[in-house]
Amino acid sequence: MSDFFCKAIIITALPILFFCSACSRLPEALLKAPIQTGTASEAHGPWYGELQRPEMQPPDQYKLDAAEATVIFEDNDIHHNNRAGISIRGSQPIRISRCRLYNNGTGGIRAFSQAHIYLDNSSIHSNRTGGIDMREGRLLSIRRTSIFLNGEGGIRVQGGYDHKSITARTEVDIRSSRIFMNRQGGISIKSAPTCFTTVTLAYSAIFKNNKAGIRIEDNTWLNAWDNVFTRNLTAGVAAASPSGTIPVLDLFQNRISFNHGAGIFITAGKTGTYGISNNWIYNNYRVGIGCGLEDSPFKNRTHVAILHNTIVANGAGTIGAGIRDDSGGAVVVQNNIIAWNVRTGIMVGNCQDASYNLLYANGEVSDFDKDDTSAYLFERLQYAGCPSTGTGDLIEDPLFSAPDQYDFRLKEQSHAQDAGNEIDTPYFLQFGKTDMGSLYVPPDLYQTGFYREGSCK
Amino acid sequence: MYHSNDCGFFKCCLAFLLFILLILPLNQAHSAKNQDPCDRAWKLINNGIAVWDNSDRQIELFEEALALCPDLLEAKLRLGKVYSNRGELDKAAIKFQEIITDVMSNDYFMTRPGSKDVLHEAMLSLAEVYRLEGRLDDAEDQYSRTLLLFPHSQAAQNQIQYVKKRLHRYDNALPPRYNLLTNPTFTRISGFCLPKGKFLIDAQYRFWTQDGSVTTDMLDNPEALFPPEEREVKIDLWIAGLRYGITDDFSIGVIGRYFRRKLKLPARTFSPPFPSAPSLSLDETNLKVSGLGDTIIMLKYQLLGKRQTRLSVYNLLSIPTGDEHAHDSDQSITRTIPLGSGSFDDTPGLAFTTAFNSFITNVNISYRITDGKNVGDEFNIGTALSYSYKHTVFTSLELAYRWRGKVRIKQEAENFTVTEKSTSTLFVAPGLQFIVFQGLKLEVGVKIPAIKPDKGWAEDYVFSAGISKAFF
Repeated sequence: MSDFFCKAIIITALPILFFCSACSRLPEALLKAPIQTGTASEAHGPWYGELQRPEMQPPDQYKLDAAEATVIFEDNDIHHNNRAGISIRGSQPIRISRCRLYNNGTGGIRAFSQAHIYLDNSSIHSNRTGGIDMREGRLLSIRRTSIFLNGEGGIRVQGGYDHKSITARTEVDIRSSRIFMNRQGGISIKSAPTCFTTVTLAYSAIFKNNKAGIRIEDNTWLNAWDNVFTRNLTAGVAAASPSGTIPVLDLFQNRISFNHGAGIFITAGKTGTYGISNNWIYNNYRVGIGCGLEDSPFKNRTHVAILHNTIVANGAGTIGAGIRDDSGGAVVVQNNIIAWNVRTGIMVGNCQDASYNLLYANGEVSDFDKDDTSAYLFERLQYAGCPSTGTGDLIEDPLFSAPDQYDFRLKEQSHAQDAGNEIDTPYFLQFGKTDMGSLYVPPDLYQTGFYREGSCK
Repeated sequence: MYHSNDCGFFKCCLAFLLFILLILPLNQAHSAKNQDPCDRAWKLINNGIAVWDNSDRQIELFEEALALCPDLLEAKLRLGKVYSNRGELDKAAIKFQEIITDVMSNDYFMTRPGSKDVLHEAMLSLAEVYRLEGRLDDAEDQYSRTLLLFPHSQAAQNQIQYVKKRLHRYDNALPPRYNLLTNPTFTRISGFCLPKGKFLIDAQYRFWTQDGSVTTDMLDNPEALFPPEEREVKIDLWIAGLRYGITDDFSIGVIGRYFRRKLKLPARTFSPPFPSAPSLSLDETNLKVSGLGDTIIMLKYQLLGKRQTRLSVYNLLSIPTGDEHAHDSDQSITRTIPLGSGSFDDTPGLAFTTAFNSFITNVNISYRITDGKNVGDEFNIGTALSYSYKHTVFTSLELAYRWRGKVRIKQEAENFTVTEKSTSTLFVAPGLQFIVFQGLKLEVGVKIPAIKPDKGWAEDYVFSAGISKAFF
C-alpha cells in the first residue's frame, strides 16, 4: 500500500514539476502584454466618417450574430500548445471572445469543415504557422481583433477544396481588426471553383505583412471598404485566378500606401457594383493599380472599373505607373486623379476606355505649360503610348490640400472639382458631386476602428 | 525487505522533487531580477508593438525600454515613430538624428547586427519628418544621403522622385525616356502618325544601276530600229521629305525627288533589215538627263493605336512634276529617259508598326495605280524587322516583294515604243541606323535583289544613305 502511495505521489509530482518549469520559460512580456488599448488618434482631424458609409452586406443566409453561438470561450489565454490553440470542426457555432492565443505550435485557431467561428476582442499572435487557418469552414466572423507576428500568415482561408466537402459557401467577415507583421500574407483567401467565398473587410488595418495585405484567388468575392493597407512587402491587395474562376472585387474608400509591390494588383478579376473606387493609392513602390501580367498567356481575364481614385507618387527607380494594364481585358479608367507617379500616369491597352481623368507630373517631368514647346512630351509621358488625351481629361496640377502631408483632398480652386463624369449609380450619387479623384477621405492607420470596447484581462 | 528498500528509493526521489519544487520559485525570482536589462527592454518593445496605437502608454513602454538599455537603437526608433505619428515632429526628428549620429560615429553600433536596418529606417524617417514639415529641400538632401548609403532603397527612390518633382527639379534630370521607333530604310512608312503640330524632315540619297535589253518582241515597230539593244542605266536619286501632324491621328507630308539618270548603250554594230543598206557601227553611247522627279503628297490616317502597335492607311498622290519627255542625244542617237510618269498616280496602302521590347516590326502594303505609260502599276509588300540596341543603334533586315505591271515607254525621237512585260522581284535589304543626337538619325542600307526577272528592267544593288530629324 505504501509503495502504491509513494508511486502515486511521484507520478503526481512529476507533471507539476514539468508544468512549473514550462511556466518559467513563458515570456513574461507576452503574458502581460496589453493587446488593444488607447483611443483613436485625433491628430488628423475629423475626416473620417464625414460621409455616410454604405453598409455592405453580401447577400447571405448566415447571420453574423454571435448570439447564436453555443460554445463560448471567454477571457482565456491559450498558449504554448504543441499544436493549435483551438481546433474546431463541425457546424457548432463557437464564440471566442477576449482571448489571447499565442505561441502555439501550429496555429492560433485551426478550423475545418463547416466551422462557425465568431471571434472578437482577441489577440492571436506569435503562433508558429497561421494565426487563423480555416479550411472548408462556413463562417469566420472577426471583430476588433489583432492578428500579428504569426509565422505563416495572419488569416488563411481555403474554401471547399475537398471535393467531398458539403460546404458550398464560405463567409469571412472581418471588421475593426488589425492584421500586421505576419511573416507571410496578412489575409489569404482561396476558393475552389465549386465553392463560393464571400469576404467582407471593413474598418481594418492590414500592414507590414511579409507578403500581400490581402490576396484572394478564384471563386471569391471581396468587399473591402474603409481599410488601410500599408507597408506590406508585396501588394496591398492582390487578386488572381490559378484555377480559371475569376474573383470579384469591390474595393472602395481604402487607403493603400507604401506597399513594396503594387497598391492593387489584379492578375485576373472583375469588379462588382462599386468597383475600385474612392481609394487613395499612394507611394506604392511598383505601381498604383496593376492589371494582368505583360507576358502572361492568360489574357482577357480582367474586367475592372477604376473610378474616382486618387493615385499619387507610385513607383521607384525607373518603374511605376499610376495605372498599368497588361491584361488585354476591359479596364475602364474614369474620374481619377493620377499625379506624380514615377514613369507614367496611365498605361493601358485600350486608350479609349480612359476618360475624365486628371493627370499631372507623371514621368520625369514636374512642370506643365501647355503653351511650352515641351507640352507635347509632357502629355505623352502622362499616357505612355495612348495617341492622345482621353475625353474630358485634364492635364494640370490637381491642387491637393497638402500633398506633402499625404492629404489629397482638393483645394477649392482645383479644376478637378465637378470636372468628372457623373456615374449614375446610387453609390456615387450619394456623394452629390462629380469631382475627379476620390470623393471620400479614407481613414488612416490610426482611424481604422480597431480600438476595442473591452480588453482581454 | 525488498519492499522496504524500494519504498526508500521512492522516498528519496520524492524528497528530491519536493526540494526542487521549493527552490524553483526562488530561482525564478532570482533569474528575473538578474535578467539582462536589454532582454527586458526587448520585451517591452514587443509589448509596445502589440499596443500600436500611438498612445502615452506606448511611449512609456518604449521609454522604459530605452531607460533599461540606452544602447537599444530599436527602442529609440520606435519612440521616434510614435512621436512622428502623433505629430510631434520635433521630438521625432531628435530621436532619428540621435540614431544616425550613434550609428555613423561609433563602431560599436555600426558593427552590431541589424544596425544597418535601423539606420536605414532612421534616415528615411528623418526625411519623412522633413517632408511632413514641408522642408522639401532638407527632405531631398536626406533622401539623397539615404540613397548614397542604401542605393537600392525603394522607399528612398520613391520619395526622392516625388520631392524633386514638387521642387520642380525633375525636368531633364535624366535623359529623356521617349524612344524613337525608327522606320527601316526601304519599308519607309510607319504605322505611327506624327503627333499634332510636330514635324519630321528627312533626306536620302540612293544610287543603283539597272540593266536590261530591248528585244524585238518588246517593240511595237521592230522595223524602225536595230534591235536588240543592251542598256545600262545608272541612277542617282535624292529624296527630301517633310511630314507634319495635323492631328494626332492624321499626318500629311510632301516628298520631293531629284533624279540623275545616265544611260549607257554599249558599242555595237547593227545589220539593217534591208540587205542593200550598209551596216552601222556605233561607239559606246552615253546619255544623261537630270531634273526633278514626280512629287508625292502623302496623307496618312491612323486607324488603330495601342501603345506601340499602330495601323494606318495612307495614300501617296504622285504629282507629275518630273519631265516625262526628258531626253538626250549622243552620236545621233536620241533616247527619251523620263524623269516622271507624266500622270497623276495614286498609291493607296496600309502601314503597320509594332514594337516589343527591342524589336520593331514594320509592314507596308501598297498598290500604285498608273496609266501604264512610262511607269507601270506596282504592288509592293515590304516587311522589316529591326532590333534596337539601347535605343541608339538599330539594325534592320527587310524583305520586299514587288510586282510591276506592263509599261510602255515611247521613244519620241526615234518614233517607237518599248513595252515591258510585268515582272516580279524579291529584295532583301539589311540596314543600319544610328540616333546621334536628340532624334537626329543617320542611316545606311543596301537593297539586294534576291530573285529578279531575266528580262526587262530590274535594279542591281540599291545603296541608300540618309539623315532624318524629328522635331518633338
